[in-house]
Amino acid sequence: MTPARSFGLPRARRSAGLLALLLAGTYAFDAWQTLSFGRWHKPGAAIFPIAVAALMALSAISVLLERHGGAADPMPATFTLPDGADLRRLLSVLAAFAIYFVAMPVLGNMIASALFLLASMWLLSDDPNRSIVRLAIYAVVIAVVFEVFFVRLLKVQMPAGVFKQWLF
Amino acid sequence: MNSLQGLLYGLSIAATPGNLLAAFAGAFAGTAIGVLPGLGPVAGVALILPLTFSLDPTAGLIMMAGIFYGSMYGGSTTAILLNIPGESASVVTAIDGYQLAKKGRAGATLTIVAVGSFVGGTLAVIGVMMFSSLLAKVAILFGPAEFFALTAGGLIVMSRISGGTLASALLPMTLGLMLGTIGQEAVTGETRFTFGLPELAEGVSLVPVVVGLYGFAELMLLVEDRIHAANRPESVAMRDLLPTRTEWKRAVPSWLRGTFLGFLFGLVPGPAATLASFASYRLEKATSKHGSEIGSGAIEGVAGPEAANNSAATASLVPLLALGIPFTPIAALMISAMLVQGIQPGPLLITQHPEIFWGLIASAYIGNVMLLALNIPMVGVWVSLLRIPHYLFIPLLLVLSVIGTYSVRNSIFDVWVLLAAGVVGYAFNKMKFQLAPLVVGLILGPNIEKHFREALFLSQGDPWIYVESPIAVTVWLLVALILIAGFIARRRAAFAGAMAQESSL
Amino acid sequence: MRFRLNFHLMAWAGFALMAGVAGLSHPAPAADEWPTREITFYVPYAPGGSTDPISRKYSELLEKQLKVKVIVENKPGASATIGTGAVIRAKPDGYTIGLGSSSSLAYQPLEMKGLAWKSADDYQSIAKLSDLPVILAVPAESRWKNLDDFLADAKANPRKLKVSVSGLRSVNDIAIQQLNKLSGLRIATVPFTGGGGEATLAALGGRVDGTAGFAPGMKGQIDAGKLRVLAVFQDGKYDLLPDAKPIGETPWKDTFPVGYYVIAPNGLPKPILDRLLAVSKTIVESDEFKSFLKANGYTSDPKIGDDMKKELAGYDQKFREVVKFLDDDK
Repeated sequence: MTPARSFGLPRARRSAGLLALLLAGTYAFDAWQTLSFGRWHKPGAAIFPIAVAALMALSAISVLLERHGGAADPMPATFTLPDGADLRRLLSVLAAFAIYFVAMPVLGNMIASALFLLASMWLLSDDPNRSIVRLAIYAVVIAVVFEVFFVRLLKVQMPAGVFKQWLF
Repeated sequence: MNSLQGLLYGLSIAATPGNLLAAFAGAFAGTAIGVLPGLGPVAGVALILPLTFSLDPTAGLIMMAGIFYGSMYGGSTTAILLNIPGESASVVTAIDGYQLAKKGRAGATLTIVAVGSFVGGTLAVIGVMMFSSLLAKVAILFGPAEFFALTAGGLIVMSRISGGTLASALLPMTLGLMLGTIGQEAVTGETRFTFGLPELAEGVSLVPVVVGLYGFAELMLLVEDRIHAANRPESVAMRDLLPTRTEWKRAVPSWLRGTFLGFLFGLVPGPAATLASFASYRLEKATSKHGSEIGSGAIEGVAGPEAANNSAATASLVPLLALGIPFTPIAALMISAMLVQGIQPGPLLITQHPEIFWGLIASAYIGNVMLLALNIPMVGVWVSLLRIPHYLFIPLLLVLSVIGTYSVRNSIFDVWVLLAAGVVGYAFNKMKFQLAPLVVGLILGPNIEKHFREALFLSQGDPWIYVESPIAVTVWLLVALILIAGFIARRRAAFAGAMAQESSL
Repeated sequence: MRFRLNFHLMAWAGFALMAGVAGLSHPAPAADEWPTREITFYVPYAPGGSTDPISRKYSELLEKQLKVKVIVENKPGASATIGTGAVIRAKPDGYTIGLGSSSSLAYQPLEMKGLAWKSADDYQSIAKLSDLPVILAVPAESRWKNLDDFLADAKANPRKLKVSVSGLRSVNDIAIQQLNKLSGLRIATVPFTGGGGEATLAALGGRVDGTAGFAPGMKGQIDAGKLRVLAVFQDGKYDLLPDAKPIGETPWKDTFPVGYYVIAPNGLPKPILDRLLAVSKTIVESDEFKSFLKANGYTSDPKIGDDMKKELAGYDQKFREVVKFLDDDK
């Protein structure tokens, strides 16, 4: 069994509803303050956002007023979030992913991709005897194939990075 | 020259080895581009455009058409196999397609999609050929008030596209509308809700949101849970690659409905292919005998939308060819290509440049055949991709989504949007909020606002303009009808459910 | 044709091969070796109007001159200020250039706050590609046979006649407003933001009384007899549409076309700037470019570097007067 923590769904949805209500308020306030309403024959930029904010408030309230439980409720009572090793793995892959595109403008698409591939393969592989050399070869091959096919051949624009002049 | 002579003439042009090669190269490159999450038909055609200047005009346009069809199809592949829509027209395909893939029917579904795209495309070509000058008049009938009815009414109808409770759909939909208001708005150029970030001035683009919400969130689920991960088909037998007799039978009516609906959408401006696929999904839910299964892996939920988006894409050739007015970004790129080559698009195209007009129509036939021939053998290859171990597969897909997302606007900011959308999608999945309405809101929001305001500009401030034209009134009546029918159907289902419960006691 | 197509595929295949095999080659590039990689050309408009084809033609010829790929990218939105800003804010290394129009470069800074440019000093002028006159057309079945009819009706019914334009304060809108300002007429303009296409469609569908736009997007309809062209907003005859009456023949002749220009961010290294100016001069004066302009109704008016900057500074003053008129007329 994978470690997981269980949470009450109705409570989570109510929190989401409250958050949405707050969002509607801030959004409407900002629209009111900064945007122009125009006139009837020249409607301004504020009108639509104000309507959207009202709709958001409405949908937030409809979430807050939901009745849960009972046989007719199509939703389960709880949901689970990962815990322990699973949570750690999820967060480390997310962190690697974020580092990946922070590094991309500097290292260029190909190098950053290869490094990210290696890191995330290492994190995701559950084989205790995994060989880093083998994973590194996979990572480099995939990164080079992507670069050749998409960037060079199909002319997809990707950051080249500072090592540009030393790479083919 | 009548339609048949025209078509034969067109075929004689399109079937030269050079033009066939152009169609093939286009379909092939298009499929490759479409498979890359994020890069869709527009990006594909834009990438290839400079290359077409060195070809003769007919070959250039044929190649662009090939890319168009190819990338539409390629986008569905990833939607079905991985729950990552390759482009926005494949969003609904992912809903049922991915469920079918989980049941081990990936190969069959891909085959149904390939044949459905072929059916939709081919029938639409016939429609274009027969009625193009007549249909062109339809486009002229639509002004801001009619479009407002179409888009705002569409939003109301499609908000419940993926089922669930009303609140579970309304909240994400409104969030989508909100995201759509970010950036410099189109009518008066005011900057809204950008928090001083110059990247946001261009607005939140659709691609990172779609890829993040669906694909990235799905990958997060795979990462967090190895048991979940083990639920994939280990190997697929050859006979599972082909649809069963029942699956074929169930797909045919959906194809036809989708083709018809898609054709209508293609005639009016706007994101035709995407809207057509959404609308067809909604239609399948309402009309199909297996409507209640849609959402949990029914072939109709894939067959209809895929035929619809191809049919819409083809039908959007009508305004392009008959009016010379581009309704879609791709049509606009094709017009650019013609102008650079010194060809004036417009109502006279058919007489001044019959080789372009008929060549393009014939190439749509050939492109669809080519696509079918190219992709049916590929089904086995795609399905075998599912057998790649997860520790290799997930990183590979993450890199692909980043390349796809970044390349649309050359923006690292969009990749952050991808990450944020992924987290939101993950949370929404957990909390049982629907994702598809968010995409619908983001697509339709800017259109609704634009037509709403343009109508007032046009009427000099008279709000009656929204209900003055017969078309607008008809659209609103249809919307009301669909809502009422849906309400009655739900009450009936609830009643029947209650009865069943009682009788089982 | 077949030969050319095959050649291209071969070139692609060869390129893939090279990309795969070639190892460490280029040493660090310097300014005098520019360009060593592809150049991006931003078009601040969506394709389908009059701006995209001319950008692609220039880029095609630039590609031939410089022997590197020139990638044309459409960055539309907010009256062309998004794409124009992207060029002006780019790194001045010669790898990002783009299209500007007299509207995005000289008019929008007067209307919008917070743009990266206020005058022609804030970006590098490279070359003027062309002028394009605004034309006024009405649906073929409408009751106005010529410009005088239309203006007489406009005079009798102030603020009643509606003319569709491609966006609020686009050059075609401004041309009508300039006419309003000089003549005392009040023709109402209706903006359609989907580019020229939707404005033309509104006229074809009879929802507006006329449309002001540009020949590349409207000529097909005019030739087919669906639209009747009444006027061209320039001094002399318009070769492409000889039926159009020049505004220069009315008492309110002070009008202006839209000008299309190539711009770059400020601060380009001198060798790059010189090269770019030189090849641009070759391009805009070439026969191939000129015949493209003529065929599509653009007016050739080559101006390189500082000459172009002077013209844009002149527009600034004229636009200020229109803005003042619009503010007073609100």
